[in-house]
Amino acid sequence: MNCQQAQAWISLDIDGGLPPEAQKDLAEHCRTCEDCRNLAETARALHASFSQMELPPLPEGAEARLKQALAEENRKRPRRRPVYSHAWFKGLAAAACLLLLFGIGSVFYPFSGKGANDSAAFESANSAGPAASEEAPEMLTYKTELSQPAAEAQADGAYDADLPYDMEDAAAESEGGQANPALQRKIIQNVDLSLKVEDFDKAYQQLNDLAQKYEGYTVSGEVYTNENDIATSGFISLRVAADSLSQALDDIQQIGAVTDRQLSTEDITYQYYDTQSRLEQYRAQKERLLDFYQQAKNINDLLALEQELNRVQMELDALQGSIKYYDQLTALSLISIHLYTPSRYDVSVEPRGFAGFWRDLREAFFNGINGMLDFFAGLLLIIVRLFPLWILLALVLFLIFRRRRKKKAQTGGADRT
Amino acid sequence: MPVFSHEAGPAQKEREQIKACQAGDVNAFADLIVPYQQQVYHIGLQMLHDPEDAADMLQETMLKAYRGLPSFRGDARFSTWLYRIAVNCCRDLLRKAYKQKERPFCDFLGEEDGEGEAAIADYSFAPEQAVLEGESHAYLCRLIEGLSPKYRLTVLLREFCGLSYEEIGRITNVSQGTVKSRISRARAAMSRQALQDAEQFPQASRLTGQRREQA
Repeated sequence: MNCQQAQAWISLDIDGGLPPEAQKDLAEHCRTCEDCRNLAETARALHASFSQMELPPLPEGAEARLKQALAEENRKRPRRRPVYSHAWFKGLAAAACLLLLFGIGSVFYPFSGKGANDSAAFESANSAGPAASEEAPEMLTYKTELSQPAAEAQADGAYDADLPYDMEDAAAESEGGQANPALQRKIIQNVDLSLKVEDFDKAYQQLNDLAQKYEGYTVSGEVYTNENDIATSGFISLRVAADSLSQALDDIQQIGAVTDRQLSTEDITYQYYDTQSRLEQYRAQKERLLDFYQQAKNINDLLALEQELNRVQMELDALQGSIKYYDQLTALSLISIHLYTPSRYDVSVEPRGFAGFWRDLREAFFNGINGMLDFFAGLLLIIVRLFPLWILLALVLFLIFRRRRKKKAQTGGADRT
Repeated sequence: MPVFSHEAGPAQKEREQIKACQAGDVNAFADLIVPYQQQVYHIGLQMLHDPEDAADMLQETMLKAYRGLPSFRGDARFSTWLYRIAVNCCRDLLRKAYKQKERPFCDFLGEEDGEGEAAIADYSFAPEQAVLEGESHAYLCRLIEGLSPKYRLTVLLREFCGLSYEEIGRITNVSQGTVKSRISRARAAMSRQALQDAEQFPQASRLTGQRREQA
């Protein structure tokens, strides 16, 4: 052991940090080394003196001064609890987290469980439902109704309103195999489109010709002109043969640029066959009435039969008219065209005085106000729409804030260096 | 390593006091700092060499502690935390004085230690007869004041504030080993000076409370 090490051990021993073996070694060394012995004794004595030393009294009035400063501090800055230590904040944060979790969850698992069932039910109600449960029976009804005359012919008997069931079945069977060629869907097709053309008048003429070409006609036409009497836009509707609709549309595309197009259809199958079956019934009735008419004996019967025949004939005519109308509707498709030319700035400029300026000024003023209102409304909407983001932001800020506080507490509050 | 823990009782009481202070109780704070203010003032006197500066530093330390108390989480002892604030206050004051060119600034935080005896202590100034023959208090203060700032602060925190090596290390930003060596070197330097003084002025030995060597 040398004296330098002894010096370190003396100090350590004073603070009670020297292990017993080392203490023994140190004592051994001090017995032989007078310097170290003196040093150790003096150091111990000094330590004892320090620990007994009276510390200097506080300066006069220091405590009063401090209390005053503290009171000042309290008044100046009422101690505020950090916002996150409040119960309401914790509750709000928890609720926000839950909401956020729910939102994230619904992003990753959209409409699982209950939602999926709902949409499936919706779908089946929309498609399968009417097709399977409503439309099908209707079709069946047409079938039986339509087959009635045929059945009558087969049975070769008089008309009977209560058609026997076996007959009806037989009729249905006899026709079922042929997939009902008579039951063609009756659909009216309408097309709306906008057509941009360079030469309005030429296009208008071409469209008129088009209607003729496809066995149709022009239903209506409107033409609007600008200040200089130049036609700039208009409406024209055409009827063309339904079979040639697609060809007609192709031709229209040659005339100008189709900027938008909507196809709509109307299904009149039910009305059509309903009318037709009623027509058949009246025809049969008319035949029977004619039979009765020829066999009639007295004048009263004849008169009654004639009256009845007249009524039936009128019904027949009306129904035949409907059928014709329906046939025409479905045979011809309606094309409504909005015709326009690209706008040109060829309007001549004329002096107009200040009236226009005042109007513009007024407009500008109100536009400004409206714009500002719109802006704030939009801002509010955005703020509300981004609310999950605000929650996240608040969370992050809260974490940063807390970490910084922690750090500050660790480094000793006042440490700014 | 030495453990300088307070008894459980006072520690518990202190915790309650801290809670009261965090709620804004000025009187609780005044009670809380009673055991430490003299030590803080003493550190100020020894580090700043000026009673007025020391009083300012005491005031400033306590105010900062009061302000910072809500962020005190109690994973260090309150005393350690308070002394760290005090030490920082001393530094701030010294640096301010340095900027105003009033006195030299010697940082007493950090690792670097100067080499040789002179870096530890400087007792070259002539001790006044009065000091040597007068009160032991003044003499002991003189021994401490002779140490260079880093050593002086370490000794003050150890001898008067009762902090462990580890706590001192945390306050002065050095390792425990450095604290240990600083304390031992400072003690050796002070003891040598005391021995020397005792040889020169026999009555000085009384002041250190040392037994008279019968050489």
